[in-house]
Amino acid sequence: MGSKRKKKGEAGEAKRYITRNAAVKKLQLSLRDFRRLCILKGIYPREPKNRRKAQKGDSTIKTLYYMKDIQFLFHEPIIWKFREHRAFSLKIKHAKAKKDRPKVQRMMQNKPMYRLDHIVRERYPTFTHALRDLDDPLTLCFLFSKLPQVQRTTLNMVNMCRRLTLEFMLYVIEAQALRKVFITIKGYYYQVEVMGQTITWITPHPFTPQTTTGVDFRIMRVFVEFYITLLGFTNFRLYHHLNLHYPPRLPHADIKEGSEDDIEMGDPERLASLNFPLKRNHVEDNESETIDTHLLEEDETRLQEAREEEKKKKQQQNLFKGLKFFLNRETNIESLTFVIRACKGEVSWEESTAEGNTFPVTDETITHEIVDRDNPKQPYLSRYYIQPQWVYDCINARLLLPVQDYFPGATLPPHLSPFDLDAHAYVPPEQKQLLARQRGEIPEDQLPRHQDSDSDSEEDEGSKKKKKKTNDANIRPLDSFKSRTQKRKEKKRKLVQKEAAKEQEKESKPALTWEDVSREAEAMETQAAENGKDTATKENGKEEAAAEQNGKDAGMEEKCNREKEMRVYRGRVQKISPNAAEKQELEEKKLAIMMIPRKKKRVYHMLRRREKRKESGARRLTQKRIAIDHEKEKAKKAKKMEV
Amino acid sequence: MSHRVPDASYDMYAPWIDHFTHEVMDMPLSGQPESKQSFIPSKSEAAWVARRAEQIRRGLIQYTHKKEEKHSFYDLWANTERLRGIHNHMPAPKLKLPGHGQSYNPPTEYLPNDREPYRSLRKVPGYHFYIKERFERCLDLYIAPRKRVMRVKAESKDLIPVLPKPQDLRPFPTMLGHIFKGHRSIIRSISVHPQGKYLASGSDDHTVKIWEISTGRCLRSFDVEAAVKWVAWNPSSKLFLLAIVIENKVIFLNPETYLMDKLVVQQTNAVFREEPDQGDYIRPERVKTAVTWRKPTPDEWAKGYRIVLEHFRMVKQVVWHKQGDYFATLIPEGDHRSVMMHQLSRWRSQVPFNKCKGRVQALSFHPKYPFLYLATQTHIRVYNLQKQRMLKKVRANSRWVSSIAIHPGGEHFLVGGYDRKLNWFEMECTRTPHALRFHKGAIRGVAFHRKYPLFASASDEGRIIVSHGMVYDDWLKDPFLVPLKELRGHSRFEDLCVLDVTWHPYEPFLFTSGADATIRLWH
Repeated sequence: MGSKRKKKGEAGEAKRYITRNAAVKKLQLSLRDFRRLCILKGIYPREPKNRRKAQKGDSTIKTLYYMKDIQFLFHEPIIWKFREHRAFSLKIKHAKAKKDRPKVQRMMQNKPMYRLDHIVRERYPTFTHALRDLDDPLTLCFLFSKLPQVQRTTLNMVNMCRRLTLEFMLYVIEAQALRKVFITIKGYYYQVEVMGQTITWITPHPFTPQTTTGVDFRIMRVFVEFYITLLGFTNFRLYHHLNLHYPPRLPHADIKEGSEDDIEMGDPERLASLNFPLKRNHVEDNESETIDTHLLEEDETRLQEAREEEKKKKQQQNLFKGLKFFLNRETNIESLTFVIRACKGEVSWEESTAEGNTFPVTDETITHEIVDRDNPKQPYLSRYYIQPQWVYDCINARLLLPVQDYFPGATLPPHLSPFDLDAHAYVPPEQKQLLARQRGEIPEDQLPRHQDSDSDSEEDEGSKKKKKKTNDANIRPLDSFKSRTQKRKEKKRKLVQKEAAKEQEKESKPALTWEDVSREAEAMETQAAENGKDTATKENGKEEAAAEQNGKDAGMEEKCNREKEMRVYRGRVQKISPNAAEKQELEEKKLAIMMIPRKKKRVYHMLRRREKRKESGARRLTQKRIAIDHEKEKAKKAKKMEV
Repeated sequence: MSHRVPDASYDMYAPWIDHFTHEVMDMPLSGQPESKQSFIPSKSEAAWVARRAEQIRRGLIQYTHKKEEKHSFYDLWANTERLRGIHNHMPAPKLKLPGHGQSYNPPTEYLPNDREPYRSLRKVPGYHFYIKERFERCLDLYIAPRKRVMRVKAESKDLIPVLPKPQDLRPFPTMLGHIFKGHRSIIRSISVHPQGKYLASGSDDHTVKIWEISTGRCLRSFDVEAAVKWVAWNPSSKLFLLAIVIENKVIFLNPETYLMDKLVVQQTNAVFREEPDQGDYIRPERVKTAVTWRKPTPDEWAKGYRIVLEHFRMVKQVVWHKQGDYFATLIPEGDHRSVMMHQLSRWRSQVPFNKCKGRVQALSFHPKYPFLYLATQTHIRVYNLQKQRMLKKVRANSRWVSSIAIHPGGEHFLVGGYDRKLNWFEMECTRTPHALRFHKGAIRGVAFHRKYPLFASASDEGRIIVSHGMVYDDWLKDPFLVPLKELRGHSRFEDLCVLDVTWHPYEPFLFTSGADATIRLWH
């Protein structure tokens, strides 16, 4: 009797959410300031469980904020700064209208300013949290660092972004943290591993990004404002983790602490700084094992795997060690320098391109010259002239790939994504080949080689021998090339012998393979030659077994037959279709699916749908590939016929 | 001036009031500025200014504030104190990483047909929508509503239960043995003789046929007056008797096949030649109006009829008690008299229930005890016939029960429904049956094998599913149910496919009758 009737909209979802307009009113801010505050504090609208209830019966879609989030904003000291700023802007406006220049100047000097340190600390309680969320900050800062310095409002930001991104790249180089690179039509994707966290960011292609309509730079600026603070603190911590001085003392860009307004860093200076080794406070031998053995103690195989992974990582970090790269001016010098140096390679370019070049073109110890032209002059025989894709592919493959596919003018092999590792989806043949190579199944030499490369390297030998005496430090890469060519020849010889032997075997053995289709052809080839007798007996046995089975299966029918005519019939060989086992398995699976409990069945069907979609995509791609390959072969044949 | 005034009341000679004083005042009323000589500087003000000037000179007052630095970085996370953050924070999802298709030089199969790949890196242009995409990401970060969504990361095969291999649970029927052809219409019911030699089938073409199982031969065919709804062999070894349901009649037939033991055939004939002595037994009115027992006419006797039981309404089913003396008939439209019990030896009938709730769908006797299972549309009721009370009422977990089968052990029973559900009940806990969703069509028949742990179910979609159903003595242990084989063969006819399933009494053979006028033996 006494219980009060509940009123609508006084509890539950209705109290938990607040619309944007209500929130703005409650905070006594302008919409623009509210937006700014939300971006800085990382507050976002939330989807309610029941929109109708959350909106007190209204079902039109409104932006709903969590009430607790808005209450959290109440205590933010920055709100006062916003208000101060508003008062300030009114005063300035007034003074400007009065043309009171000294007053404007004086006031501008006392412009209210706020810092975002506490917000960074609040949003990222630990450093790991900050690292985990570094994808978007890096991407946006890299974009801003590429913007032209025209607008006064963004000038500081652009400069700051240039500085911070450069610092981050230098850290990655110093820590050898680069793991994956991928060039897409949108830009360059880099993936690094910093303190166990993978961070991926995108940089645009080296052109000034085009602005399109419908982009509000004011919003982006607020984001960048926060990201600059975040990135600065992260860089500080990262540098100190490596015992590096922060901010780094770079030779070409005059970066002083706290004087960001004065820095004007152009692209050439940036490049120069990127090619400059940082000074460490004291060098520490960081060879200790980084695997967390404590956690993996029990599982031996997992530990082994982790060790192997660690080994591969080491290999990747030292991929270009001892190699010297010279970049031609048409290449993307910034990206290549970053990537090569992150794998311990040495980089240089022409003096006229930018500052910071460390060795000239004439240096005979250069091992690779990266060229992006169709027919460049190749005056030096001691180095490989290759296209830039080789560098990126090598890093993703974690090994030095054969160079002949990447010679200038050659049709490049496809540039594969290192992120596309779904085993269920379609795997292009190139990736299969790459995986086999990573497992060590394909020796480098088995691949079709460029005709010129062999002769080139042989010709080179003479000149190399001379150098051997003169320059001890440069021997390693050159020597390895030489030994490689020798090994290659030996292996080729062996392969030829093997093949010949195989062919002989094929001829000698009778064709017995028609019996069992399911068995793999290769296994049969070797087996049949070795123990021809064995297989023959086996087949006999099989026939008998089949006959027995058949007898059982026929059951009643045969009984009647027997009554009619008493005679020994010749056993028929039951033909077991090659996919009988498969069929059986399929049927068993079908029956097992029937036993899935009802609740799980829905999930099962959902998963099946997802898998089927993937499978059909893979199938489509496979078919397309087959068609393309077929066409290529046809064209080849036609060409041959013409010749 | 004529000294005239407009108002007569106007007093021209009122006393004068002086508004402005005629005396000279201290302050002049004129606005003329004071001369500079008359200025006297304030001493206190001069002191204040001097004081300020001195302070400024000393640097105690600053008119331009020292500017705070916007960006100065230090070790922010050195302080490990935890600050209050956003309540129940949901981090934004990361951007999707690009696949092979997005490469500047992808494998050819990924390229759309109209696009040529870039032959080298220098030919790749800037991406027109780069800034736009970054901007959209920013928008997503601050304005897109967030929600936690549970994603299933498992693979479908992880959800499939691991069952024992069917090969290990042999024997069970795996393939088609015989097809019994001969009927010309839907075969509603089949029954295997308890000795396992003969099969009886009743069809809509007004015939009952007796088949020899071992050969598949049709031994005899009986023409009856109407479509046969049900056939059931008498389980007793001393009688060779088949009960047939036609319209409102239950006819007892002695097929007299020459392959059967002649003694039994003769004995059966002898038993039914005479009407048993009723003595002073008077039939109750309720039974009298419902059933009449009569001897067949000589013509009918020649056809093989031995007794004819005429009911007041259509009969659907007849079930024998295991001893072969008692049997029950089901009259679906009989209201309170829809189930009737009969005694063959004494030609007596009774109506066991005063009331019958719901339309009765199927009947079955308990294999060991005098219990009757009565399946209505949504419930199964178990009655003890001796004590004349209901033992149990079970909700069938199905909207419309079609068939029921009792496990030979007696502790379990299977219920099939028109709503595609097959439920395995345990007598001890009937609340939570094992729901088996094997079928996609209405279930028409279920059957347990008497000897092997096998059961089969048939449905309208044409599949017959043979399953392994092992039952344990331990009550705590659940029955072990595994589908073993899916049999297909019957073709559809007027939305019907398989209509009845029966097991061979001792061999692992399965018989099914279908709407395509065939009976199939699976072994």
